[in-house]
Amino acid sequence: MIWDALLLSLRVASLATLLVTVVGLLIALWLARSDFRGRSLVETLVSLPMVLPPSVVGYYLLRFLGRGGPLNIFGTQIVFTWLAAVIASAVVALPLMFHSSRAAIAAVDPTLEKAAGSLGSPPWKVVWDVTLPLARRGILAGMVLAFARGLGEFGATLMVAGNIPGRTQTLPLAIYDLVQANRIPEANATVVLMTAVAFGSLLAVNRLERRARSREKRYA
Amino acid sequence: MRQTPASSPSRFPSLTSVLAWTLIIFFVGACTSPAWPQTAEPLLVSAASNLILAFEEMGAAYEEETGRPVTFNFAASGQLALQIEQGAPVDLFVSANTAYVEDLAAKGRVLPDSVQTYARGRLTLWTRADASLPIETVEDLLDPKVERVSIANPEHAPYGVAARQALQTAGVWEVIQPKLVMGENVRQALQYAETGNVDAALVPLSLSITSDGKWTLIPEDLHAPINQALGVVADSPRQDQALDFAAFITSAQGQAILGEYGFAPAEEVSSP
Amino acid sequence: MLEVDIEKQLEDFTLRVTFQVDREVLVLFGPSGAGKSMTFSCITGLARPDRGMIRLDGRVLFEDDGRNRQEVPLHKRHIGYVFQNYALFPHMTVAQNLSYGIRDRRDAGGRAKAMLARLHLDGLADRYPHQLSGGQQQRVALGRALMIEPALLLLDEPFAALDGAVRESLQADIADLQREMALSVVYITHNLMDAFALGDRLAVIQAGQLQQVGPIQEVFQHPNSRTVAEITGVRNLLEGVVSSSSAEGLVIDWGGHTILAPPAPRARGEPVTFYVRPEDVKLLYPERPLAPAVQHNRFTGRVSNVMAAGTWVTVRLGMATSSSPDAKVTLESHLPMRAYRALGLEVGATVDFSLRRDGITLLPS
Repeated sequence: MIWDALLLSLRVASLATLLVTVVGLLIALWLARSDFRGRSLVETLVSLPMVLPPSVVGYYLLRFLGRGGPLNIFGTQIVFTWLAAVIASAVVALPLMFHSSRAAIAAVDPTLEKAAGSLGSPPWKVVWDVTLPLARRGILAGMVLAFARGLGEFGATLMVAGNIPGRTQTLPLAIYDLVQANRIPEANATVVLMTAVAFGSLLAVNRLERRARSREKRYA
Repeated sequence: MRQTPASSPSRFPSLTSVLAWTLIIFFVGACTSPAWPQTAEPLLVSAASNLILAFEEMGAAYEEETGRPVTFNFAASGQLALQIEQGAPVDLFVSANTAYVEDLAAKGRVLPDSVQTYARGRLTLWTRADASLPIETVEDLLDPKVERVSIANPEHAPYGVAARQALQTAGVWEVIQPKLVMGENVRQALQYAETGNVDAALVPLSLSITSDGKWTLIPEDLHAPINQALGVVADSPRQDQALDFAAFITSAQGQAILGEYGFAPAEEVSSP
Repeated sequence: MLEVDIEKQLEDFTLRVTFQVDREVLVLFGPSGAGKSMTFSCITGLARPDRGMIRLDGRVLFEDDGRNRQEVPLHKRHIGYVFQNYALFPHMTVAQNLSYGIRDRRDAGGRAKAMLARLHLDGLADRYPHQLSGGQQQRVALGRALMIEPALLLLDEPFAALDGAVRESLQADIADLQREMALSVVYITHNLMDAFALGDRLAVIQAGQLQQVGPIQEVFQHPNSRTVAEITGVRNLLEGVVSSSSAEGLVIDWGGHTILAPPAPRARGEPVTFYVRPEDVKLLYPERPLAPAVQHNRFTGRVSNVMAAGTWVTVRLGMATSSSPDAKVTLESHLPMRAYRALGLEVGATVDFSLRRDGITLLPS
């Protein structure tokens, strides 16, 4: 049960991080480089899951993804599948990724982007060649935060994915079940396992980042 | 790959590695266990979280008898009801009260004919084994030395409602209420007491009997019966199987299992 | 050839410029906020004019006649741009920076090396921008823009952060490259010395309008208005009224003083603006007889300031006129150090001087 939960948690958190990276970067790029009236509204909307209690987020997701909700497009259900767990983790992790990336992107000198454009790079290539590499640290930090948040997601996941062992029971949910069943020693062991996993992942990412940094010369 | 001295500027290697990592983990996970819901699935039962121990055994016994496995989704009854209302693919709803089930039946989300009481909960007064003060009745809670008492939140927990009723019926509510600490659920209420943060807790019998504390039963006439009901979900494609499992729960065997874990049988109304 | 004819409403004024540049260096010269950078932005495609036309070698980059608009995006205009702060990509090596704009990657490395050699930057291919000096960085920025083989090169105050010798050598290189590659170059500066060093023609711009466009010496020596004269830093700009006009010369009443200028078709009573170059403000030795050139326009003034620069000295002279008897008018005189020494002057001393008649230049009426 625990190994299922562990693997599921890693899968869910990884995919949620991937999703959040793509969406978060797109929104961050959009907001950092344009100035339109609804800008602060978009920012607030994206930041909302950070302020709301996860169970409230879960409730809204359930309304959205459940039957009769606007997002229930497929004939098959999203609710109570591991995909719903991914969505729950992604939604709560998005604000973290967004804020971190947006700050990093805004800090990139716009003149560099203009220079790249003048040298023949269309906007997407400018982003790929200049903006993102120079904003790398902030983006990576955002991804790490998103992964950690996604790994520990509980309230929203419980609501919208259910607590089905082997299918949607992530590590936090497994711990919850163990505690409910009064199996405290097992619960404690699982907590230690989860901490180790989170710790290990963050450490690994840190290492990667440091190695990449030392490979390139430091630049101002 | 072309290797010219002035090759394309370096992308962000670490970012790519991280993405590659996550993809690897994802695919490894995807290969080891089935990810997408299968068509021929076992029965999915949403059950209140205080039924974990009882129903794990119930499910095992049922599978042994019939060869059919049962999967459980444990959470707070209120959450489970919400999920079913929003179309969660659950077959049977086993609640910690009757209100949620009846509510869903009224909304057509649960088959009204399948609604039945499967057990009766009992409330206990729990203290730590090393508690200096003997607390055995709700009147004992009036003692000024009892500073804090925990119950589950009556707003959404059936045992919280029962606890409040018991205190009100016993006439001690005015004095006790300022001392109350609300737990999110009965498990949390018990945790407050286990960790010494409160002096006593009003929690279900099912929790007390697996704990390390001292407890006494609270007389049933102090509160409305804590009837716990179940119901088959209307949209379930496995209604027959759900009904079969429900029948098992209310059978002598099922009731015996429930009794082991601190749940009284459905029909009995007499005092302890 | 670059053809520009655009109009754009800005916050404080309307930018309206028309000019052409054909395989030469045009200097866009003017004070801060005059619209120079905005003009550049419009040419490159970073900003959009309200109306007008921009064409490069016959190819329309922008055209808007009020009904239809045609616009080529920034990354397709193929214009070399050198930024004021170099804008080198800090996460790429010099070689990678240089070859960034090249489509055909086949010999990118070789071409980058060749450009490095051309710009006297050999051996720096694998360095990062932060490891280079300001002058080197600017050269790389220049090289990067040239690598895409543009027909037009825009330089935005490229020498602002560089000092003397570095500045001169870079200016020489740019001049050479422009000739070699037959480039059209427009460059922004507000430093007159830079303009002279590199420019063929000068376009003076003020408050969004082009005041005068022409060969640089022409504009500097014959500014067509007081505005241009002030912008190009003309010294000793004076105002007066014509007293009489004859074949011998023009007599100007300058604040109570009489000035004789070369003949000019002006009417009596007409107000006139004129200037005299500091070199033509001749300080007089007290005992020496007057040479013919300094017979006229003799005045007395008091030395208010002396600035030495190498072998030349600039002396500021204060004198009173009828319109400003106390608040003195200041004239500048420019003379060799040895002459200054011979005069034995110091601040506060009184000295006679003469404005050379043929050095008095009238601004157009």
